[in-house]
Amino acid sequence: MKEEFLKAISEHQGIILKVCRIYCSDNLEAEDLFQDILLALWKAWPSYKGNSKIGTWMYRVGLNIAITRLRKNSRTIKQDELSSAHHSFPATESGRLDIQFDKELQEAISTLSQFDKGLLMLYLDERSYKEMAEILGLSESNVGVKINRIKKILKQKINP
Amino acid sequence: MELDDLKARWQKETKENLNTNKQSMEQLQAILKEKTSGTLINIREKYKGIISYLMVGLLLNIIISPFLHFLLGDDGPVFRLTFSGLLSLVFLLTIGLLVVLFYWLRFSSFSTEVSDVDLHTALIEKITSLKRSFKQEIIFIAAVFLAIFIIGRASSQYLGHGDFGDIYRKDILLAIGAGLAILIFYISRRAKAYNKDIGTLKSYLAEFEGNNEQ
Repeated sequence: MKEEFLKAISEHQGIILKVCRIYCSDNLEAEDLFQDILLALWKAWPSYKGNSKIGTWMYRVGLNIAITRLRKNSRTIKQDELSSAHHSFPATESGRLDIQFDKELQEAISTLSQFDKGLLMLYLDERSYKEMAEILGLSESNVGVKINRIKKILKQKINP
Repeated sequence: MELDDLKARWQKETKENLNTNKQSMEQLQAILKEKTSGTLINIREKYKGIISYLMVGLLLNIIISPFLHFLLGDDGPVFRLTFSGLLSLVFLLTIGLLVVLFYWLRFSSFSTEVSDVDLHTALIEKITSLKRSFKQEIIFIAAVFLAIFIIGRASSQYLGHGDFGDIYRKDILLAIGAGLAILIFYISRRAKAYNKDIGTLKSYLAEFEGNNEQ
C-alpha cells in the first residue's frame, strides 16, 4: 500500500507544493505545511476509493489541512529574514524546500481571504469549474461568481 | 501587471518550484517517517511532562508526610505507610492516570483525524468537533473535581475523621474554595484556547458563506 501511495504522491507532488506556495510566505512555513499535508494524505489514503481523480482528492486534503490546521505558534518573522537563513540549507535534502516567492504575485495573493486564496490557486491552475466546486463544496455557478469577484479585487490591487 | 500576467507568472513559478523541489519516492518516504516519529515524540514528550509532575507530587507526598507527623508532634520522622495514607496515594494516582488517559485518547484521536471531504464541509465538521471536544473536557474535569470531593468525604467518614455531610468546617471550606478557584482558572484557560480556535474557523466559514451570498 505504501509503495502505491508514494508513487501516486510522487507523480502529483506539484499539488502539495502549490498549496504550500499559496498559503505560506516563507520556506520554513512551507516545509511544515508540506509535511503536514503529506502525513494527512497518508492517513486519508486507506479511505480514498478512487471516486474522484487523485488530483482532486489531493487538493481537497491539502486545502483542508492548510486552512483548518490552526497552528499554535504562528511565525511572525519577516519573509526576508527567514529566506536568507533558509538558503544556507541544501534544497535537495529530504523535506527541505526552496520555493520561489514572486514578490508581486505574493502581494496580490496576500490581499485575499483564506478561501479566496484556495479558489485563486485552482483558477490559476486552470481547473474546471466542476472540479473547483467539488473541492470547495460550492455549486458551479457560485464558483463563477466568486472567481469574477476575485478577479475584480486583484485588478484593483495590481492596477490601482 | 494584468491578470493574464499573473497567471503566466504563477505557471512559470509553479514549474520552476517543482523542478527545484521535486522529492524522490525515497525522500517522500523519509519525510513521512520523520513526520510520523516526530508527531509520536511530541505526544510522548507532552505526556512525559504530565506524568513527571504527577510522580513528583506523589513522591513529595510520601517524603513530606513523615516530617509533617514529626512537626505535628507525632512519633517522629519515620516513614509510616498508614491505611489512610495508602488510600489517598492510590486514589491520587488513579485520578492522575485517568486524567492522563483522557488527554492521551483525545490528543491521539485529534492527530489522526483527517478530513477528505470538501472544504466547506471540513470547516463545519472541524468547528463541531472542537465544540464537542470542549464540552467533553469541561464535563470530564468537573466530574474529576466532584469525584475527588465525594471520595474524599466518603473516605473521611470511613476512616472516622468526620461525617460525610460535615463540610461546614474551616479546613474543608478552604479546600473547596481552593479547588473551585483552580477549576475556574483551568476552565477559563481552556475556554479561551477553544474559543480562539473556533473563532478563527468561524471567520473562515463566514468568509465562505458571506461570499456565497454575493
